[in-house]
Amino acid sequence: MVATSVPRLGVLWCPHWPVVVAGAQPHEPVAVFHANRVVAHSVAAAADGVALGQRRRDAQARCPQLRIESFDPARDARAFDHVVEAVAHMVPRVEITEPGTLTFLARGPARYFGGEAAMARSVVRTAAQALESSMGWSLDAVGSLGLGVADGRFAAGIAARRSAAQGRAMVVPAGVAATATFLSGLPVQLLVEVAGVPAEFAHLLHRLGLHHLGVLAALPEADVLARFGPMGAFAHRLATGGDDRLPGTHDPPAGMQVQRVFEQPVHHSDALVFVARQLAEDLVAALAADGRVCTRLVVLAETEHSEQSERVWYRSSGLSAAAMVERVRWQLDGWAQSDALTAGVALLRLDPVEVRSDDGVQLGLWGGRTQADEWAVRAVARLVALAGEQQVLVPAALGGRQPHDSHAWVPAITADLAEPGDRLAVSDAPWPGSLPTPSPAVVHTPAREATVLDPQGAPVRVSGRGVVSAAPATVQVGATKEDVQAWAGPWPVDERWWDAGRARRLARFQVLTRSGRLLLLGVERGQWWLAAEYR
Amino acid sequence: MASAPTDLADLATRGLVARAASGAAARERTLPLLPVFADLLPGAVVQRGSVVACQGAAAVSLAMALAAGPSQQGAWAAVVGLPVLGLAAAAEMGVVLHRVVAVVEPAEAPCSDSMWADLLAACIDGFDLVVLGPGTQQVRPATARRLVARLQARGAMALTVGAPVFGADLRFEAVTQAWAGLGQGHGVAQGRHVQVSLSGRRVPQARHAEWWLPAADGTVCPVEPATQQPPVVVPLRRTG
Repeated sequence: MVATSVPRLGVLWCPHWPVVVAGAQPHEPVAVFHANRVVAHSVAAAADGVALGQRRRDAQARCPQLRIESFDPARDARAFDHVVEAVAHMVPRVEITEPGTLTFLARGPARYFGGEAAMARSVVRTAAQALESSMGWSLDAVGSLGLGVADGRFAAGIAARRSAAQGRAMVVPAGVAATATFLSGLPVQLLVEVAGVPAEFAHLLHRLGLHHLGVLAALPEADVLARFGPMGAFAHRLATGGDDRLPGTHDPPAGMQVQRVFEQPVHHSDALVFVARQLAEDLVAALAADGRVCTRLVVLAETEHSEQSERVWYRSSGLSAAAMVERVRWQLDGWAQSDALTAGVALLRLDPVEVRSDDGVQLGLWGGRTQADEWAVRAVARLVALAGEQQVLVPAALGGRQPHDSHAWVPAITADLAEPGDRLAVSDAPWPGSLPTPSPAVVHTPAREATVLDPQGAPVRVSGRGVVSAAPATVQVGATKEDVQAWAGPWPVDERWWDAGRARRLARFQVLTRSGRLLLLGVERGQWWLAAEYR
Repeated sequence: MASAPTDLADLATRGLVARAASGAAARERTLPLLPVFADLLPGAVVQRGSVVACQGAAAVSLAMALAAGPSQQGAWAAVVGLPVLGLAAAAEMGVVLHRVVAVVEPAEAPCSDSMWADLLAACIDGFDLVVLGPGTQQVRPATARRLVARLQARGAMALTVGAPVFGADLRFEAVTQAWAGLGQGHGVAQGRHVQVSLSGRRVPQARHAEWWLPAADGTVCPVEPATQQPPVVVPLRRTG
């Protein structure tokens, strides 16, 4: 077997990139959370016992002084653009796998720099300098950048992770045998972390006593396929240093690219993203007609002054239309902040450079995606074209104590309609102090001013200790004034007291009027508000 | 070779495969409501193409309860001219939020009549369920008639809340309402006892039902005659 089919790749990997973007100082414990779980943490936090996947409460229990940041992939991608820009000056065709990881073909640059080790050193140095100089960020909080050079994405990715731990670039000798030797002593858990194999599969291997990649590689391929199916065969191929592309991957036929030339150069990134969405949907539909999905996409934007931004984006599971749009947005945001723009954008092009047969989701006959979903997605596109982006909204779950905090309307264009996923994922945060069900059927955003008077006609007040001055007798909202029949409260809330700009301190009441209307009122600094109605 | 899959895809597009699977072609002409509506409508279904008006003090809750059934069966809902809809309450009532889309009128530039006609036509074409709030009341009667005709042709259902211009095939109205659980400075609202009446063109005699709308957990359920108390009381919650 000759290694020609497996490309020689370099992978630059920044451990815990979101923590770097959060501006972590050396020795500062910082963790980034997504859906209540740790997705990245600094070295200092790890020393106190914070680990990936931990719940927020557990992490805080281990490390009370932990600084908590929320996960924002768009911000991470924008920031990572500095590194990409710097590295792209040295090596051609830099491919962004995710914010914090980039991949490039190593063979050419290695010849230019006089060897892979020399190339690896200069790439790391350039990337680190780009970080320090442009943003003033320090990598000390997360360790150091990792750079691995090896045959194929999987081995190079692992080499990059090990290199970050060792603090110097790591070059795995070329050839299938050398790659297999490098991998043999490593745990199978890396299949999950680097190659995106389902965690259950790695657990299964563990339970069967296959703890290392070498042990898996030693099994006959046919037996692995028979026992574990295609996923097992894929893992086996990775472990033996073989081709790590998913089966069915190939170059697309020519002419699949889609582009839009603007007669009037576009200055707003929102308008570009809107066009990108149409282009992406066309492209995905054209690929889907052949049963294919794009795994590597080149996004090119060009201004009328011929300034170009070209980025290669990779996603092993395939890029959906929404994922493509997200990447276009990241790229444009990164470009816009680099101050290299002097004119409006005149050309936007999406070019799939690697596709594979789509083994993914089929439209469900029972369950899954239905025809109604397809129609609705099309109707939303039409409504956006008619009414504008800000006028067509979809719900998103936020979590909060007030009726208007728990859910919000967000522009439909920013959401992936087919996959509710994170948009409506209700975190298991308990929100102590939120009102019990039933929730109000009508929520006023913003809240409407109200006046609440006691039987003597004086405004009802709530003291700092949560004591009501007198029982409410009348409620006036706008021009309607009503007598109070029953009431309950005050239920005080003291939110975000640590943040002077966003702190809120209010007391809430439920008030039932004589006409049978149930109102949710709030009083904040002596002013009463009608927050919601149970209509 | 190319023709066979195309035919199959075409069949699936027209919903014929799904229809064969459900085994009842008649069901395709109706939308399923929550089981509690069986008190008022036989089989708890509404004909596609109907305009259903929700009136009275519990109109918004009624609209949510009506929308919950189709929504759980995979229907998408467009909410037009009702920006105040409480999403948490809708979710508790059983509406599947990821199949809800809202169209709001820009505050600075109110929509013209033809704009409303285009928007609502797009909603009717794309969604099985269109909730029309007070914001759509400015539509001219002639436009409203055209839209209703389109609704019948397309087989969607319209739920109106404070928009009588669209007429009504069925009228749900909360005749009486009484909140339970609230005292003088104590307690918390634990449900609303409503008497709902249904009238309409195809309903010769008004029908009545007594429900908790909403009940203590935010859903809708019939009142048990023996207790007259909210069936579920869940004031205790797990906290931080």
